[in-house]
Amino acid sequence: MLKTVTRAPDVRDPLAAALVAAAAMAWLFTGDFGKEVLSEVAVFAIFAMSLDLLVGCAGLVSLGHAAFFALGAYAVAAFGVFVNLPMWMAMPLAVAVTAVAAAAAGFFAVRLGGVFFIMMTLAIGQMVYAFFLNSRAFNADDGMAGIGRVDFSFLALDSGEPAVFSAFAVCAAVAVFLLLRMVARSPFGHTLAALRRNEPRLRSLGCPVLRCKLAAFTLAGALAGFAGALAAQHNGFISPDLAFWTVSGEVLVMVIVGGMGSLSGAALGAALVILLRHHLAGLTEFWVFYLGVLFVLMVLFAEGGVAGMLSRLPRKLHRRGGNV
Amino acid sequence: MVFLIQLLNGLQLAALLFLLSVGLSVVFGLMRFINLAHGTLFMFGAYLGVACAAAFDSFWAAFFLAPLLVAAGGAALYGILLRHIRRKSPMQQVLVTFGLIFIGFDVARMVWGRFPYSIAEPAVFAGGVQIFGQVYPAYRLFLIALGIAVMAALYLGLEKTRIGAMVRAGVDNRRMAAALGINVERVFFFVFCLGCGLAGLAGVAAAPVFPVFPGMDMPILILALIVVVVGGPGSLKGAMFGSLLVGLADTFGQVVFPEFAAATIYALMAAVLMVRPTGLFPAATVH
Amino acid sequence: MFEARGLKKSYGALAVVRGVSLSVAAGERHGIIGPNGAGKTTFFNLLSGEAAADAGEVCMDGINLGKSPPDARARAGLGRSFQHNSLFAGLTVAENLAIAIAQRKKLYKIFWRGFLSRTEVFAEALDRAHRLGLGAQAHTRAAHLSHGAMRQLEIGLTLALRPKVLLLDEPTSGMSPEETAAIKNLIRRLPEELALLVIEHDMDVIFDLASHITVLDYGEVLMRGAPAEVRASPAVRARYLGMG
Repeated sequence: MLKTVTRAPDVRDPLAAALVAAAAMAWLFTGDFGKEVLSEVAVFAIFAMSLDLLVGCAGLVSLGHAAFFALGAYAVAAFGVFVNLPMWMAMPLAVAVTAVAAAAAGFFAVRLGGVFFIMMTLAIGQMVYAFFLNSRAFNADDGMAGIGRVDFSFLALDSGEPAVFSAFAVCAAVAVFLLLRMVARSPFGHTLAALRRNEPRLRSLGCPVLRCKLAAFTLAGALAGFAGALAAQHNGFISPDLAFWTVSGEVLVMVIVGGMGSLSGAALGAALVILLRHHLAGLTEFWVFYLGVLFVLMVLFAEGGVAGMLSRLPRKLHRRGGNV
Repeated sequence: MVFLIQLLNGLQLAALLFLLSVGLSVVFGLMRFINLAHGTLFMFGAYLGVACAAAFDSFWAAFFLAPLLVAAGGAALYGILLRHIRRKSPMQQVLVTFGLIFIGFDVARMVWGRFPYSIAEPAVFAGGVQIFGQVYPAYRLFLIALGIAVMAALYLGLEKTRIGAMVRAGVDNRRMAAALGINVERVFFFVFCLGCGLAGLAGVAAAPVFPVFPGMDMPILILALIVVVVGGPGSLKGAMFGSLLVGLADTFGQVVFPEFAAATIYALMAAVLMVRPTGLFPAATVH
Repeated sequence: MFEARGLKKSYGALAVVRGVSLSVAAGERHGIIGPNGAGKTTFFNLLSGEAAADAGEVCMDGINLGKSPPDARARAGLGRSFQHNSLFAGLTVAENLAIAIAQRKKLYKIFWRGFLSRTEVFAEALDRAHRLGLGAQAHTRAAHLSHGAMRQLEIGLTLALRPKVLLLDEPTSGMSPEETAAIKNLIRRLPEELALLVIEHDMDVIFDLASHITVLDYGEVLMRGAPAEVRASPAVRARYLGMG
């Protein structure tokens, strides 16, 4: 939000800078497995940031955001495998398809207020899951393999290399961060934030709230589709599980853990949750249980998430320093 | 004749959906609170039914015990967790119950594993019934009758009893009801536990027909949520008509367009919401 | 220029507004009074589109607003304030006003440039804060304002739309005499050509400001006329002023 209207905006974002530095360190100093994890973190950071536009900025909680993640992945697979398009073309087409789907779903969803919007998004997510699970064209629950990656051969690079693909994914995440930061700082973004605070009043001030919500829903869906298109290339494989409700839940946990309303927080949340999952995967097969416990605890006790705690930290240190 | 069989299948699904959605709907009408873990309670009803049926070697023991156990679980959940988040925003309440779905999913996997269970139907309803030259499983007819019986009981309870009048007053105007000296908190607790019990009943009743496995809760939760949205929150009538519509649409949708079965339900919900944004029979204001 | 014809609204069996018609000319200062439960706020909700009328229509400059939602009516030039303050509590006074100004200028369409670079919006916001008498609190969060200052901001937000027709719902409710005087001043300084409809409980305020008065009772128009006529009417005195 705008801090004060007279002071120049604070353009520094130490958390974002730290995350980019950490990604660079990870890229430089880890092996192939570390770079695979880095790619995964970057993809989920895009996914989580797109959800944060809805949840953190506009206050629209979606429990079905994985629907668009999966749609992006399936669309890129369809264009790549069925139509045989190169990924450079398949990716923007997949994002466009997802944007259209998000606009169509959002047309109904944004009309519903509060809890009903949440229920509707959950239903949308489950319907997309059910569709892919029953769809013979996409091999139903077996999914599809053999999805290629973007071609960097014009730079004499092989995108099959984890080093190349993870660098590409991190750059994509930075680009999405910059795009969403621009949106959040625009009059449109501030209007969304006002909508979160007091929708009836904003409407009475002449703001076409339904159109604004639909625009946010579509943009968030399209970017989730972009994340899905990257995930499909990263794994080389897609299945209906991409749309499963636990995926929607997981990305929401990332946003809540990182801190709603903070884009870099969402990216941090993605990194924390994925690292935690990789860590716990070796220790327990009941990852979902711990995810649920984390979810409940974060909702109950840590409203600002980790980003909120970090932003309070300098002030606390300052105060302590002042007392001594 | 296929039509008649599918009609009965649709009615059977509608009966289960009614048991599930009526609790969700009335609790929402009373307290503006949606418990997304309602499907999880359904799943535990089925699992506890499996456990009781095995322990007592009797379907009927499971049929009566499992709902009571689930209601007790609901009471504990309310006392330990939900009571304390009542002052939080509706968004946080929904999110907490969403987190409970995750926990319930893996608890079921931890205790019962990932392979499906089932209960044998009771001996009385084990056979089939001749209907227009077709054999239809008697147990499925029992499910339809169960739905109708519960609906009648709830209707009488709401209309004729003192606590029913309190619930209606609470749905109508919560502040007024409190001002009239009704202990809204206690009414809510009662209704919440009843709703949990009915979810458990739906679970154990479904166990001979549907496979019992971790994750069986989500498809039916989605259908129940759609029933609440389509029927309009807070009313018995809404839950009843919503269940019928959704149950029949889902059943016939599976037959007519198998690949797009989910889409038929979605189209139904979209159509209803376009005409009546607050559902067919809303008893409570939505926002 | 602004007209309501035969508006009706029932909630279940309770008819709250039972066929109210009203027309307001540009520059008119029209007061609406009536006992509690007379349906005044519901009538406003029907005018602004917050509630859907069961029957009747609302016209502005001869155009039927039909079933258009509140935001479309606001863009057509119909501004309203609320009986219970409805502000962006976490934002400062100037930010509240800037959001309102941005809606008037339809800046919500712009998603590529920074909001803070629109210095003209913030200059106008500060200017408006000063003219509302909130200059010293321009950077105070709305949630931390006194009740009187909140009421002023409530009206100020609506004024930032530059409405042609302004609906004020009990602008002085719960205010001290000084704060009431400030609001009266604010209303006196409204643009000449603006049509004002105001619901008010403070009779001194209404008889002082209004050029016309409509008395609502049980969702119907009990009488309508100049302040002096209304004050003299035996029916109004008996029913409402309690001096019969």
